[in-house]
Amino acid sequence: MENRLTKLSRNNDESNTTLLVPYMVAGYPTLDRSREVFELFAEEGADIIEIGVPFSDPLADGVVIQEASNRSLNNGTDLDDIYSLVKSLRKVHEVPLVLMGYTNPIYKRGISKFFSECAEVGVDGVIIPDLSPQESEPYVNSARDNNISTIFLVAPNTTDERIKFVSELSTEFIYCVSVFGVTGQQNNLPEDIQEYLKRVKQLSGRKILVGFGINSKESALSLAPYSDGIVIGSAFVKLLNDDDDNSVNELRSLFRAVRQALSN
Amino acid sequence: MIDFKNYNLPDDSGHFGEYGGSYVPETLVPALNELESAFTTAWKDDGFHSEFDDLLKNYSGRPTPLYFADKLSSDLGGAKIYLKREDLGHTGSHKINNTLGQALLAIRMGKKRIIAETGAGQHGLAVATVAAKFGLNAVVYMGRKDTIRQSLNVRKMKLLGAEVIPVDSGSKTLKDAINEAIRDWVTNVEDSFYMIGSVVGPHPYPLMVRNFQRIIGLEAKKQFDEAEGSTPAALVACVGGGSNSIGLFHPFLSTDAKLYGVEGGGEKLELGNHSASLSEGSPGVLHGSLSYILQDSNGQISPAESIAPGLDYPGSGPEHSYLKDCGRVQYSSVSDTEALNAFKLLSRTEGIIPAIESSHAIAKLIQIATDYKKSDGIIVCLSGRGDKDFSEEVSNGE
Repeated sequence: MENRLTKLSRNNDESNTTLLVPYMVAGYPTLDRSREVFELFAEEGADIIEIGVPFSDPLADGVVIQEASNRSLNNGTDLDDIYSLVKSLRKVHEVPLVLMGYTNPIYKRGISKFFSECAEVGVDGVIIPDLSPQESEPYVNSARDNNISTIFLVAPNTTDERIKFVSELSTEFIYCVSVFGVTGQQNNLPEDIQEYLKRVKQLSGRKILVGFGINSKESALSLAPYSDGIVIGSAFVKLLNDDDDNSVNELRSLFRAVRQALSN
Repeated sequence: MIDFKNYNLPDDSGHFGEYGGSYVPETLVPALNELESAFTTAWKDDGFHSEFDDLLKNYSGRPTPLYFADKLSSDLGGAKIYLKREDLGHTGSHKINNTLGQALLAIRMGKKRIIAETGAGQHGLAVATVAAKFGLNAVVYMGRKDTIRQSLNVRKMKLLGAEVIPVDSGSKTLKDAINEAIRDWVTNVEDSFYMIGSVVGPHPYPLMVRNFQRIIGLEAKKQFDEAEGSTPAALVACVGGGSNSIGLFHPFLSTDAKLYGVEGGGEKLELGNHSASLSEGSPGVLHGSLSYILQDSNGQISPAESIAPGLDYPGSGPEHSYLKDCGRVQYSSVSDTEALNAFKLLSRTEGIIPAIESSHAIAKLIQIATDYKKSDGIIVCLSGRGDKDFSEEVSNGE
C-alpha cells in the first residue's frame, strides 16, 4: 500500500493549500481523552496528525509538553497503548499519522521491531527530535524497509550543506523549527524567518512543515505563504485539561479558526 | 583483547565503539561543530596549553599532592594506600580543572554567557569561580533537592556572582538540571557557552572534559613513580558522570593497574533506589549520547538515588560504557551506608574529611585493600573535600 504521506505530498502539489498538522501528547490527560482529540483532529480536517509519544526527558520541549508527557507516563502510557490508539483511529480514518517521540524509547524497543510494528498498525511517518541525522542510519534503513517516512528537523542556524544532508534523509517532508528554543515558547518569530524558510524550501526539494511557537490563527497565517504546512502542538495541549468538556470545545474552536484561515 | 597502547578513542564522529556520538536537537549541531573546531585548534596550540598549565599551577594550586596514607594503610592491613588530593585544589574538587579549560575556550570563541548544570554544587562552584575570574556571566541550573542539601555551595555561587536557578521538574536533581541547561542552550545558542561538568553529553564534551581532567592521572603516575619507582597495582575512583575517574584512569589504561569505578549504590540495588548506571543499567540515549543508563523496560529514564548529589545521576560517560564492555575497568557500587562509614573512617584515621562522593571510592578501597600484597600500591582519587556535606542526611547522629 502506498504511504499516506507520499500520497498527500503528491496531491498537495496539485491543490497547493497549506497543510494543517496538529499535535497532541498520547495519553494526556488520559488515553481515552487523547483519543477523542485525535478523532476530533481527523474529523475537523487535519492533513497530518502528530501523535506525541511521551518521554521522561523531552529536551526539545517546553514546559507544557513536558508536563503533559509526565502526566501521560504517570497514567502508564507505553508504545503498546499508542499502537492500540493508532489501530482504533485507522478503523475509521485515512489521515496520515506521524509518531513524534524521542530516541531512547525506540532504541530500547529495538529499532527494527519498532518500525515494523509502526507499519503493522498503520503509522505513516516518524519525527525524532533528538535523533541527529549523523546517528540515524539504522533508523532510516529500518524505516525504509517498512515504508515509514522519516521527517528530520532543521533550525534557523542550519547550514546550507547540512540542509541538503538532512533532506536526503527526509522522505517527503522536512520540519523547520521556527525559532531558537523549545516548543511552546511565546517568543516573536524571528525577523528573517521568511529568508530561512525560502532557503530550506529551495535547498531541500521537500515539502516544508513549520513548527514551534505557532499558537494562533495570526501566527499560522503569517507563515503560511512560506511553508507547505503548519504544525501546532503546545497551544492545543495547553487548552486540554481533565474533565472540563469546555476545554475540548475551546480546542475545536482554535482548530477551526486556523483551518478556516489556512483554507482561504 | 584491546591493545591500550594504541588507544585513541573517540573516533572522529565522537564514538567509543558503539557509545557516545551526538543525539541532540538540530539547533545545537552548529554550536557543537563550532565547539569541536575551537577545541581541536586550541588543543594543538602551545599558547593554549601554556595558559591552561599556568592557571592550573598558579590559580588552582596544581600539582595536587599524592599523599601516602600510612595510618589508613596499616589500619586496613593490605596494600599501601595513596590518596590523590584533588580536594586540596582551588574550590575543593577536581571540577576546577575542567572549568578553567572550558573558560579559556569560551573566551576564544567570544562567548560571554556561561550555562551550567550542577549536582553537588562542586561543578557549579567551579563555574562561578572561573566566571568571576574571567568576567563572564554564569547561569547555573541546580535541582531544587540539591539546592537544599548543598545549600553552602549555593551561597558560595551567589557570592561569586552566579545566578543559581532551582529546577523543579522531574526528580529535582542533576538529570533535571541538565535538561533545563540544554533547553536554555537551545534557546540562547548564539551567545551562550554550555559548560558541561562531566564526561557526558554529545561529542565533543566527553573527549574535551576527559582531556582537561587527564592531569589528575598524569600527575599521579609521575608522583607514584617518584615515591615507589613503579606503577600502582590498582586505582579506585567514584563515578557519577565519571570525570574524576576517567581523568585518573586514562593515563593508566595501557598499564597493568586494575581499575575500579565505584558508583552510588543508594539504599538498595532496586531501580529507583540507586545511581549505579554502569553496573546495573543498560545502554540507551540520554542527554546527547549513547551510554549505560538507568531506564525502565519502556526506555523511560528512571530517577537515580544516592546520598551523594554528585553521583545522583541515571547516566554515565560513553567512554566508561566502552571500558566496561571491554572489561578494562571494573564497575561496581557501594551503598549509602558503606559510603557514610568510609566518610567517618577517613576523617578519623587520617584527619581528612572526604566529599561524600569520594567516600564511595574509600568504601570500595576498604573492601579490596587486603586483596593486594603489602608491597602493592593503590591510588584512590579523593576528588573533593567534605566540608560541603554537613547536611542532616550525612552528619546525622554526629
